[in-house]
Amino acid sequence: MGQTLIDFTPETLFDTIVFIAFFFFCSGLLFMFSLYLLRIVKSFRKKTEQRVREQSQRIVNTIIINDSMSDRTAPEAAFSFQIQQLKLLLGHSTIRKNVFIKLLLDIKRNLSGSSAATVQSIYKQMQLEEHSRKKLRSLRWEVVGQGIRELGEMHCTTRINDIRPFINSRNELLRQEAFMALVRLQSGDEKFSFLDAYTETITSWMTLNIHAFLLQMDSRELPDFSRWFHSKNESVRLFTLQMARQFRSTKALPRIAELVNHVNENVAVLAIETLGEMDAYPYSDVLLSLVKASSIRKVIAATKALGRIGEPEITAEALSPLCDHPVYEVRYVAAQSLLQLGAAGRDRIMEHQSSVSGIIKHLQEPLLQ
Amino acid sequence: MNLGNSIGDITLFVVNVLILVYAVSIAAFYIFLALLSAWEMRRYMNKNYFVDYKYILSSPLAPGISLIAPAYNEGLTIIDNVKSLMSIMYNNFEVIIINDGSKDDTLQKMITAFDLVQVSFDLQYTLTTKKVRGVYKSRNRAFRKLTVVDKENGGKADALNVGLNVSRKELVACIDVDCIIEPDALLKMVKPFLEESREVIASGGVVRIANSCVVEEGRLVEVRLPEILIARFQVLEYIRAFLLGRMAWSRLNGLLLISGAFGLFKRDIAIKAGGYDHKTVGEDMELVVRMRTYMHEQNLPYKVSYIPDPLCWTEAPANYKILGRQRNRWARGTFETLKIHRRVFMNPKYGIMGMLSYPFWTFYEWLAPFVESIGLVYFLLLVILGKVNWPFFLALLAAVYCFAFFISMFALLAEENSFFKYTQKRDISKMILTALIEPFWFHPRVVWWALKGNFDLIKGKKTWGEMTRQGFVQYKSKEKKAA
Repeated sequence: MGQTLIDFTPETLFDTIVFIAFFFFCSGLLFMFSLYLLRIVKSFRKKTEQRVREQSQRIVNTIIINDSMSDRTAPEAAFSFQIQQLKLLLGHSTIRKNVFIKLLLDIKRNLSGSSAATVQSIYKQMQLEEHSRKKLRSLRWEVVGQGIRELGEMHCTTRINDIRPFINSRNELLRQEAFMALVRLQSGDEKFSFLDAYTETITSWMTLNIHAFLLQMDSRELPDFSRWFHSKNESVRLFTLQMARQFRSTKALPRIAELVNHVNENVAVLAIETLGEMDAYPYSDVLLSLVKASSIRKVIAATKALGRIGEPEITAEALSPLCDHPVYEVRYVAAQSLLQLGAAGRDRIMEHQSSVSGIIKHLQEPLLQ
Repeated sequence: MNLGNSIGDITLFVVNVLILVYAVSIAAFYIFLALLSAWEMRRYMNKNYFVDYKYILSSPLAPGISLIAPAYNEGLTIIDNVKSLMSIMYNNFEVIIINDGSKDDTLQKMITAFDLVQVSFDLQYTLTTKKVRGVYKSRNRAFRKLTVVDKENGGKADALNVGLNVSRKELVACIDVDCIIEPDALLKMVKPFLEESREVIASGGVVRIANSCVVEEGRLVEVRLPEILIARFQVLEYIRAFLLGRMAWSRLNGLLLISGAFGLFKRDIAIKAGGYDHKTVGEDMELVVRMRTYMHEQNLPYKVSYIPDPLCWTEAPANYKILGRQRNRWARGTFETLKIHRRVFMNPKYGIMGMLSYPFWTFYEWLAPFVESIGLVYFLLLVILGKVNWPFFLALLAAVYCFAFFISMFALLAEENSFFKYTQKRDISKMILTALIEPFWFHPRVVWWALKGNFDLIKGKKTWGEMTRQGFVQYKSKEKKAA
């Protein structure tokens, strides 16, 4: 025949290509119509959400204002009436309930004290606790996550046992949500008790969130974080050490000092930094030996901390050789710490003027402070 | 003659099969990436449903960030741009502007506007760069987070390396000074660094086209679909690339490119990997690949993350000449990066990057324009020889066109379902029309520019090519006039 493959193409190949073209064409059209449909649905949903939010926000605001009045002029009956109004507004619609819960969470985020408690009581009076609890049984992880978050934020302490199984969930997000919810819900020494058996990683995001939550608490209610300093889980050790540092838990200092030589460098460095940050003067001796450590990170952390808490004469002598250290960062923090130590440090630094003159100028530049 | 005919037929057969296999595999790959992106996008949206970024804003535990923005002859807009960067929502941050030997009054304007004075900054050339002429700080406490570095001209990569040397923060955000950054961009970009149990070494965000958008005081106040078709083509292209491509690669931990317009990096890793390579015009992709290879070679677990939120808005080239230069540069940058790191290709030592991302970029990003051009030439040859089965050809053409339409619609649906930025009623129709025209009006040009870029590289072209922009200011004044 002397023709190319194209002429030899079996019928089936041709049919397949026509089918593929048809399939993509139809799918493209379907997506195109979905685009228009989605826009209509989205606009409708947006309007509904906005309406529900506006109407319910008005009632919630009234309740909060009435409740915050010192003379309590609004009687209990008024509260029940407003709740009744809200119930009528939401009806049995799941979408409306979810919009309302989101609204409550948004409001609560900016409130504290009795106003926040009022928001929680609205949530409970509206029997939304059960609505959130049902979410825990959903097959969709995002719904479960929402449920956990809602129960945690709304302080539903009776649901602790429902949430606890998710603490070691395979899904990282559910773990995070459960972790944060348990911290919110448990009280006193129990608050972090689940850490005893916690095997997963506590991420910086979780630490940051929990720290933000704990900041709103009375510091006297905080547990003794040093209890977990020797946990088998490295992230638990780092988390509790971080919390002890942020909340300046002075009673944990002796145990923090024990960690400066920990085999795990991350733990050791954080412990060293914490001693400096917490102005733990009695432990400066512990840090002195570390300026000769083999780990650069430890040397830098110890040098920095000694600049704050070191005894001037002894520390200046110990830090002085670091001004000739081959690593720039070490020279930098050594010079910085020596300057912090006052006259004793300044005298020492002059002995190494040649190697740190640029750093000294930098450190003494007022606009760079 | 018979033998000659047979050889010819066999050759044609092999070429046909190769082109068919290539087309089917690229289509399959794109569908796979699109589906994975859609899934990952949904996951991202669900995961961040409740997130309160204010926690990051107020937390002492949030990492410090240096915003590094190189500026070259930006005198016209530099003050507005710097003010915009200074007003970003983040607590622990600094802005480092690198004046890369501008020939205009960029530096002088900054000195006057921000009351800058030269300071004794002990700069270490950890990364080798062109000479720094001076470091400036403001006497006004309101601008204490601003550092301006004046250096000899050495190109964008060199300027960014100076920024890495000057920075003392844990993370560095490398940005184009003329881009508009969303106020909460850093809060969103930093989150992956906090929430991953593996070390995140870089994170990128979606770059969107700002042509026709309303901009005031360096802030985007209203998102609008571009009025001109060329910019709209790019909107579609960007949505496809960012929402369908990179999202999936991030999921696979195989992302090779974080846009140079806005990316956040772990400073120490970027420095250990050697910083930006000033010999390539694709320094953004090259840095990511180098940081990744560094992590693999050190046997360190890591992740390159990606945020689908539109965080950075840039003005797209508004004429084909300028766009051609940009795409020419992109093509050269891609090839240079692939060439520099060729050892990664199909090397299991580099994991997903070596076995999947790198081959994908080689075969389907770099090679695609060549295959398309060869296919076209081959088709013309068959037409001349009268060996085309026209019904078959038309069916194939329809399949390819419908596939392009399908992918574009999928991308638009993903956008509509997630960030829903183009809210005007007519926007959907305009974008659908753009998607219908694009395959035969815009795409051939993109292929041509990519080919030209590769040939220019062979000829030794190393320059960026002049990139003139219309600027956002005119939209602002237009709005005022209208008012």
